Amino acid sequence: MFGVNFFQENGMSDPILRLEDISKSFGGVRVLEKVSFDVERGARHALIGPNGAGKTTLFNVISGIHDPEQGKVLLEGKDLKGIPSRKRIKKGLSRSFQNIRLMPHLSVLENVMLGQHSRFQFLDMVKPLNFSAKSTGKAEAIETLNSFGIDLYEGQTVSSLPYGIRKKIEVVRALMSEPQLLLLDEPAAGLNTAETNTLRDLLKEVSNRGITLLLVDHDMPFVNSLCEQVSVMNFGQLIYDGPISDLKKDEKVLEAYLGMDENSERSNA
Amino acid sequence: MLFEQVLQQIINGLMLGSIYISVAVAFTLAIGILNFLNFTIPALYMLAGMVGWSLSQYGVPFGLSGPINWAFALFIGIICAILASLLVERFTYRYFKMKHGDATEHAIPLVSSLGFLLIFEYIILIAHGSDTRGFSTAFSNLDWRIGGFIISIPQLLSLVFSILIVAGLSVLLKRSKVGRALRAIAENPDAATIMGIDVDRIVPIVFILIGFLCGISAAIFAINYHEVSPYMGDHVGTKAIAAMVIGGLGSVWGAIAGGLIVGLSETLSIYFFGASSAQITVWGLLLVLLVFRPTGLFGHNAIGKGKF
Amino acid sequence: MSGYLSGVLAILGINIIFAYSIYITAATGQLNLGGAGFQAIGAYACALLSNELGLPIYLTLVFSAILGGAISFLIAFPVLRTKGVYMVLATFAIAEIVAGIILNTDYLGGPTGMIVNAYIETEVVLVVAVIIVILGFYIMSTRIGLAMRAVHDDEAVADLMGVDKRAIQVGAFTIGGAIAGLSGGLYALYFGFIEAQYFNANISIFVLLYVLIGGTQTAWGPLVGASFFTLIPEALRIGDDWRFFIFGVIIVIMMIFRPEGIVTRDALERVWRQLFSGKRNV
Repeated sequence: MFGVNFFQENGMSDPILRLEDISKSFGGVRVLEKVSFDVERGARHALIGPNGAGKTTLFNVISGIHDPEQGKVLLEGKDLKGIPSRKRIKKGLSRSFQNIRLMPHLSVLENVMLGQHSRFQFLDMVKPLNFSAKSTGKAEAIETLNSFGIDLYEGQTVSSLPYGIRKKIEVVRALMSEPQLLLLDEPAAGLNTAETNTLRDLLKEVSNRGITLLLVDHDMPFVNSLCEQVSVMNFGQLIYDGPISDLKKDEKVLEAYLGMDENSERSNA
Repeated sequence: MLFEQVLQQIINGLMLGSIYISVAVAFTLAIGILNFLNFTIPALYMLAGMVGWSLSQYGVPFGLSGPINWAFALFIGIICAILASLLVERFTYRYFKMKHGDATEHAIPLVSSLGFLLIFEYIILIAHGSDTRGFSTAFSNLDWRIGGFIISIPQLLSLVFSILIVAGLSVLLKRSKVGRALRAIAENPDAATIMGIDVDRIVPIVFILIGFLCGISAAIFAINYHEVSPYMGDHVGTKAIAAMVIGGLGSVWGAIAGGLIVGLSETLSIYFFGASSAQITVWGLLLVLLVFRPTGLFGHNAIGKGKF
Repeated sequence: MSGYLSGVLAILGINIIFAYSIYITAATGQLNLGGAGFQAIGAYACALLSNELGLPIYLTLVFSAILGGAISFLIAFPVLRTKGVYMVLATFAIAEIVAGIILNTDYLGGPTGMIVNAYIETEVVLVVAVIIVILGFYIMSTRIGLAMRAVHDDEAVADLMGVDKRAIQVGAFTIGGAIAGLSGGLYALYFGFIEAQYFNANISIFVLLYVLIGGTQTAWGPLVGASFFTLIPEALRIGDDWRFFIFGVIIVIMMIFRPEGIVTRDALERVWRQLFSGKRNV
């Protein structure tokens, strides 16, 4: 009676994210065509595909920046339709961006503290940040940055910091909202081997804390070393969804990715 | 009787509009091609008028010549407007490099053009004081009377002349190589550079056109209304901006339509409601347009999308 | 205190308050080129309440702020639908409409202006200025201020972080309008006479320039900008027309070499370090 079936029927092994037939066009061009897949709770799930396959658009649909023409996005079993993008972070969804989008005129700490915004009530928001470190979240932000080994670069705005560091800060910012599901759009892009390894370790630790990862990236060795599940897109359609170990055997994927090996080698150089 | 009076006012309004047309086109070119709300334009207009007057009154400064014939003086005034416009290009537009793309950064060229507005306006105020100056030209009061209506010949010619110049400009933009380059720059300046367009040499052409249009407009005004003043730019500037918005940012024909509409609404408003009402009518209309139909009559969405 | 110095300080105080009104919205990423309109609203509200109802000064000032804020709030929703150059033009239009309405309303004095029956001393202006400066610094030091600066830098991402950008923008616009109204009320009470022709495009342009030249990255900007452009011409005894000419030259030069304004976050940090070596400002 209390076997796996019981738990399944009671929604405890429901996927944290379910995409059902997501379709989207822009100006007559079909960018997403009936994309459907699940992301399991606690998974490390990759979303890959050639450039222009629609991966970032899919992220934007999940985030609520675009509404799908057809299909549903279900987070923790609940349809996100009608929920504005601003409110989705409170539902446990957080993300990073393909082109780093930190606030150029804010400091490292301020950027990271912005990530906490959704957790605060208005009354706490009117407290001066420099005086009440604990209740404004400042202490927590400093501690988090320290735990990830990122220097505070006090007083400096982030626009002058190196690329690799800014990438890391963006991931930390995404974590500050205490998400259940973390969408990462090319987190390893532009990083050298050492930085990529550090990022992988960071993400492994994040995953170990129970946060589900859904990440887009082109760096196949990185993806391979981190994720177990993968969905592959091409021309707006899903062409593979399953364990990453079976990926290389799939015909459709090989077809879409002719020259894929060369790409991954180039990005590691 | 009333109908005839109103019709006369309509005629007056169209004539007034002809002044606004060229300046409105100058604004619309700057916004459409360069994404630049160029607040120096009213000052360029004023420079042409005041320099023209000054030359015809006193000749070249420092006693280098005697008073100059009005037509030639106005011509030099137009050249001055063009040169001043090129100064703006050199020190405002060319230096501008977008780093972050936030709202206050987009405002940098606009702010700089405000700086030049102050520079030009106050140079003239320092040199000549704030009085309005009479400017006599050969055309005094040549009116055409048709069936009870008065149409001033110089004003009619100005209207026709403005429309011809602007139409010529429109053709230039559509057919010529330079025109195509300008439209490419308007679409996407970076792509234009990649395609081999020498942006640094083409952009000044826009500024030359802007200076020319302002100068022509000032000459037309001086000839028709027989006066210039250091504040003439302020009077025309806001109306021309309104005309640009009504016609749609970036649209040359829109600026023509807008100029005429503004001239009409101003004149009719003064006739029916009194002198100060024009301001409310024109700007009220503008505000409603900006909120509900910012593309105006002929404009398109691309301009000003996002931040600027 | 000499009459002349007193006058300069009063103007300085009013300019500083006015500058903060524009700064609050500029820090959120909106450019308000119609500040004079809200200042006029506050000035005329204050004048009417003093003249017609004989309300005490402090009450009229409060009302001028409230009215400035209320009208800002009402028009915020349509105006904030516009963006960039359209918003600049829309705010400009609003100021023109306000001035036009005043010009056409005889009850408000029309083109002849209105005399204000109450009067305040310079000290009152300066006290209010200090309060507003502190308020400005305070707002920017909170999480709300952080959210404002986030909306300024990247609206789309701020939204995804959960910031209610509409609320922030409307809030900033409203507070800005209230402070502008307050500056108008102080102007009316100090100078004793107001006319629509004073609240013109030049006023709106100048105050925006003070803020942008001072710098919008920190709350020091409007203080520095307004003080710089009010005091330096007086200190150097530059005559009216020349002062604006030089102002124009400075603007052009600043936009070439230091477009982010006099006070930037990085510059501020360097100054802090030199003054208080060891104490850091994160």
